[in-house]
Amino acid sequence: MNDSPLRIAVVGHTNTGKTSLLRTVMRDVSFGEVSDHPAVTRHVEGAAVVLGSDGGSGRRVEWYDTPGLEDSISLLDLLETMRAGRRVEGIDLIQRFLDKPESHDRFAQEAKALRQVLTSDVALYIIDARDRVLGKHRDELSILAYCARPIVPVLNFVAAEDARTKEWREQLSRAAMHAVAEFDTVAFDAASEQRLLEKMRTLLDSHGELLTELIEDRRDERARLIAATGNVIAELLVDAASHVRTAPTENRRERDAALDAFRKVVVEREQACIAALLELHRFRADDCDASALPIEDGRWGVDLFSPAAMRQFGIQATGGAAAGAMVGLTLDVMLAGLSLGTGTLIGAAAGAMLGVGRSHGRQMIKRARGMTEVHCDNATLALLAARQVTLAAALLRRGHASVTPMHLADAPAKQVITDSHGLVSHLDAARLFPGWSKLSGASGPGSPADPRRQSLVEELAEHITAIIRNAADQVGRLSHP
Amino acid sequence: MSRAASGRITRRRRMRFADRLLAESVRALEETQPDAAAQPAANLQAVEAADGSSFEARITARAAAHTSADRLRNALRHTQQGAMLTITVGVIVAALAGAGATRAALGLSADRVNIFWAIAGLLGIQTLLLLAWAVAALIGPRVLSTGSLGGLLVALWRRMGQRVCGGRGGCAGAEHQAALRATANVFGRGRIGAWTFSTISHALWTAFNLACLAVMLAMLSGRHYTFAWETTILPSRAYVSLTEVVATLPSAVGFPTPDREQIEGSEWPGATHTDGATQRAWAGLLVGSMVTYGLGPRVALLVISLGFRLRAMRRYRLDTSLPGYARLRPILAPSTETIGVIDEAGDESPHHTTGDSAPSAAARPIGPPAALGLEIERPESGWPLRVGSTALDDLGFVDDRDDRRRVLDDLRNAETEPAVLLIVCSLMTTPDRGIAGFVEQAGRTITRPVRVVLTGGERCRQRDADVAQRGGDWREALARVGVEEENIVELDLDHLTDTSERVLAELVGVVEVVGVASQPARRIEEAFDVIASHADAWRTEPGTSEQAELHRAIARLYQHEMAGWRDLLHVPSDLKKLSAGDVTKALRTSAERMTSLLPDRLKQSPKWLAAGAAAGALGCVAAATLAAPIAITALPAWAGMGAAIAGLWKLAPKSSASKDIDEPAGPPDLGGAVRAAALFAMLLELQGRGEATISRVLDRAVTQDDEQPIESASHVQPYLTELRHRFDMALASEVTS
Ligand SMILES: Nc1nc2c(ncn2[C@@H]2O[C@H](COP(=O)(O)OP(=O)(O)OP(=O)(O)O)[C@@H](O)[C@H]2O)c(=O)[nH]1
Ligand SMILES: [Mg+2]
Repeated sequence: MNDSPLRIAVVGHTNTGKTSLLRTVMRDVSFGEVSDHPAVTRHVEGAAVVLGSDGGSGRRVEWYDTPGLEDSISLLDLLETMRAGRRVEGIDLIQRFLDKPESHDRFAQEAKALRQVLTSDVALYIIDARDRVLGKHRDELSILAYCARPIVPVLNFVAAEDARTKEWREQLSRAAMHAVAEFDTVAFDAASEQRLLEKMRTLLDSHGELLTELIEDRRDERARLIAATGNVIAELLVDAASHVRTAPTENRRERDAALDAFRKVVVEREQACIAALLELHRFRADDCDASALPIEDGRWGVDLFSPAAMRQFGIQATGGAAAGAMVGLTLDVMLAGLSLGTGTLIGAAAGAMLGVGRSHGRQMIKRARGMTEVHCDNATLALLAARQVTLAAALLRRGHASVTPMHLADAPAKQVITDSHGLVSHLDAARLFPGWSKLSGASGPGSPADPRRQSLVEELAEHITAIIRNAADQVGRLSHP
Repeated sequence: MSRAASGRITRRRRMRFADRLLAESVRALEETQPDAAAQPAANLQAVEAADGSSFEARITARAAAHTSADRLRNALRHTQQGAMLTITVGVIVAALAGAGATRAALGLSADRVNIFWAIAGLLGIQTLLLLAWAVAALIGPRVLSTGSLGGLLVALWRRMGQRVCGGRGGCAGAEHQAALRATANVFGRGRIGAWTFSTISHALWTAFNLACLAVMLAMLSGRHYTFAWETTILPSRAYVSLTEVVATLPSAVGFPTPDREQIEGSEWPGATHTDGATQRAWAGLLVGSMVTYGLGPRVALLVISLGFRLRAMRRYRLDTSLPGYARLRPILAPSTETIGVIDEAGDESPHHTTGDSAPSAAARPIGPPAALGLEIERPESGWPLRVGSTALDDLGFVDDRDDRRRVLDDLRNAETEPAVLLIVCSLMTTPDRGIAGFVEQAGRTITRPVRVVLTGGERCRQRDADVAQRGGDWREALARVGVEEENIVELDLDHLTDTSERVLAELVGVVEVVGVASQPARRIEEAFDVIASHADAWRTEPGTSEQAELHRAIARLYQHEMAGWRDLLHVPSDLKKLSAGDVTKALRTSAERMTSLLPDRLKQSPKWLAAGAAAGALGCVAAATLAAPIAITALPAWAGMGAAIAGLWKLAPKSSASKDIDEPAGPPDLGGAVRAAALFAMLLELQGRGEATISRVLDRAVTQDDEQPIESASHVQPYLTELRHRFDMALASEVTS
């Protein structure tokens, strides 16, 4: 067994996404510097994946980011002059070049990259798949071939419309490079990452076991991530579904206050959930630019309790609320406090947001005492679910190299909406136990310690993970038509 | 396995169930007390002790080192004591019930006992419940934990625990609540829950049976009973065989049981066998039934349940995907490590490219202008390049080493030197030292400076790339090899317009271009006058429609170059044919285009962003309506467009609101309207000059700090005069630089 770490050098023309690849592979949004200029990275910087974190072997896979190759044509010229028609092995030629003064000034960047390749087990050659295959690329590959290390060409930007994936594959296979990987560092795809690692494994017999372990580690990590995501969302849904507040039916001012407090608590809870999701997926709310997510400072752009938000997510007001005005009249008690708009809008919105709960004895008694119960109705819960699922799916498809704001689809996929509605039916039990809610101001039968609550969370989480997996696949299919 | 690995395993402390329970309590505690969740010391300790152990082991290690660990352990002990107490009480109650039931079954007063009633009374219900338990156990643990007597007791305990602890100061602390939740979660669910409930159930019934037996033996020893059976409608035979069936198990164990004769002789009334031996046989059957059908199975099941419970507890694992644990993973079990910079950037300047130091070219006679395409695709306007009727000398495309060598040789060895050497590069390419080096080498072959055309701007923009930034990179890279700013133009050869053709003609020095006037007249003064007179005419704050009219008036001045600035603003060819949604989109596109042309400094200002957005959208409307002289408000689609434009005023500042809070973009006031119109006018004046130039001139012309507020029409004229002055200065510096 080979106990030494695997060392991977990431090389390529400048501005093709080498640093981006490191970021995405490491799930580290702050690795190095990524920007759309040439020669941003001028040094060699490394990061390691440690396989011992969950009882594994403790072995390391080290990745090294290198400066971009810029002037391969002149460098190859130089190498050929040095060779002067004699038969010299490529690797000796490279060694001799690294001893020459040129490797410290004119070709300093190239020299750093080549030196790193020489100390590594494999080189990943990153390609901007939108580029045409040019002489400089061929010369870069020739120089790398001199280093006598296995090379895996990696096509980056493959999700771009003008990617020339086929052209590149043809050219590369002409250069006898068949283990080509496609890996878009911004539109992340877990399957592509797996394939990239498998490609490396085919070229690296000596580290086969280690790569197998890495592949499995990555797969497990993702499964764990999705499971944890499901749990975070399920907790939110149970908290929201069981949260109940009592509002006086008569005293308008107090009722308004109670409704406001209710909404505030739910919105805050959602934000906490978003923050938790971002943290879990290792993105930052205050990433390199503050507007990296439409959720500014972890806040959704649209007010959760607005009809627009509902429409955005294609969620129809439930049942009788479809006839907004009707609801507006019958639920006058509830509505006056909502002041979301005017006329029927109020009715529809409020009807959709806050329903008078299912008639339990508890409520009857309260009503007799002049009190009303306020809780999230099914449409709100479905909205909450659909938003988190959409966000989670997007996060799962977002490479940590992304620097541009995340664009959530204007409306989540139809399937997500349908699924979210399906989820809500599991929440009926939660309605009966206001005490299950961990939101402030909760009181009533049930307690967060009730094992049934945890069972419900687990059951929901299972459904949610399935939905997220589907949704993430769909996002993937959209971006790789 | 290597020795090191096995050593590691022995050194690892084995996790016990209690450790996991403590971890669960910590999780429950941190859920309610987010402040307690940061545990740097505990985290550190867990990581240091980790040594290749699993994430779960690190969680338990962290829990053990948690600042609340001791209090939680205490609370857990209390909770468990409470549970034990509840169970003890339950056991006592069950025993009392057993004693009572026995007394009732044997009866204190009557000395004749109906043997079957006694057996059924003591064993009937519990046997039924036992069957129910068995069925539930076969179905699954879920049923087991909710439906049983044990479940009932646990629910009772939970309630009591909450009530009691909720009220009394001593155990009302968050730790106790957490311990309660953890205990309920661990012992109340899943396999552990099922077997815990079973254990409790069976323990209660064991107590019940033991009490039964004790009381029964006491009563049988101290009193004389006559056992009998009776029936009204059943045949006696049935009782005889029933008794024999019931007696099989007790007699197999060794209890005395009545034989056929004794059974038959015990039917009441008219019993013939009332002797002591028969009664002892009956008593043997009663006690034996209690032992074999009641106590025996319960004790056995109690032991089995305890065993399974232990096994379940041993197999219990933390669910590390729970949010409370998942959040710890990057801290306790980071799967990545930074190595850091290992080959530092030197102080060398890699951009200093002097590939070869070929001597500068000697003077040769001047030939026609020549062009080469450096790493570009064939432009859509065609290749070889032509300017008007003149085709440039074609040096071809340069894509690789051989091309480079060929072109350089051609240039060196030609008999004439091109009047202008035009190198066409693409903005889609990232400029690199290789490219710059080639431009430098090409420049050395001739005596005159090379000129560079940067094409592909539009396609670059379609990639959502920052074209201005890319242009800047190119200028920087070219400046390093001595190509001067004035010799670089951004000019999209894929989308040639009249203006850009003129620029191209100027660049290569071909003057007689057909159909294009040499230098368009300046109209900025006129445009600014139009703005001033419109502003004068506005009685109130200008609405969107008034502003649209103004923009159309300005646009009319530049009607002849419309193709150019339409392109610049991305105005679709026929706005009027578009659907309402697409119109809004087109307005938005133009608005975004205009704001993207603003220099970075102005992009930071909500005021100017809003003005830019409005200028773009209104420019789009102006372009679309330039032909028809009707009032803009008379357009059928105006209502929608007007609303969309009005919306832009509010939209623009959002992106930078955080930076400039003190400068909110208001509704389209007079100042806003004038700024938008002035921007539009300057844009039209500057069109055809390349986007970087436009941004630069705007940057120099527009100041915002020392700006006078525009509150009334009288402020407009001075403002515009000042602005035009600075605009002229900016233009002048552009020419001289
Ligand atoms: N859309 C998209 N953009 C990408 C992708 N990969 C990289 N980029 C962008 O491309 C630019 C260059 O990325 P870097 O990671 O800095 O490239 P590099 O190869 O490290 O560049 P140098 O260090 O300058 O040689 C950045 O603006 C990235 O955001 C990708 O897969 N898709
Ligand atoms: Mg880099």
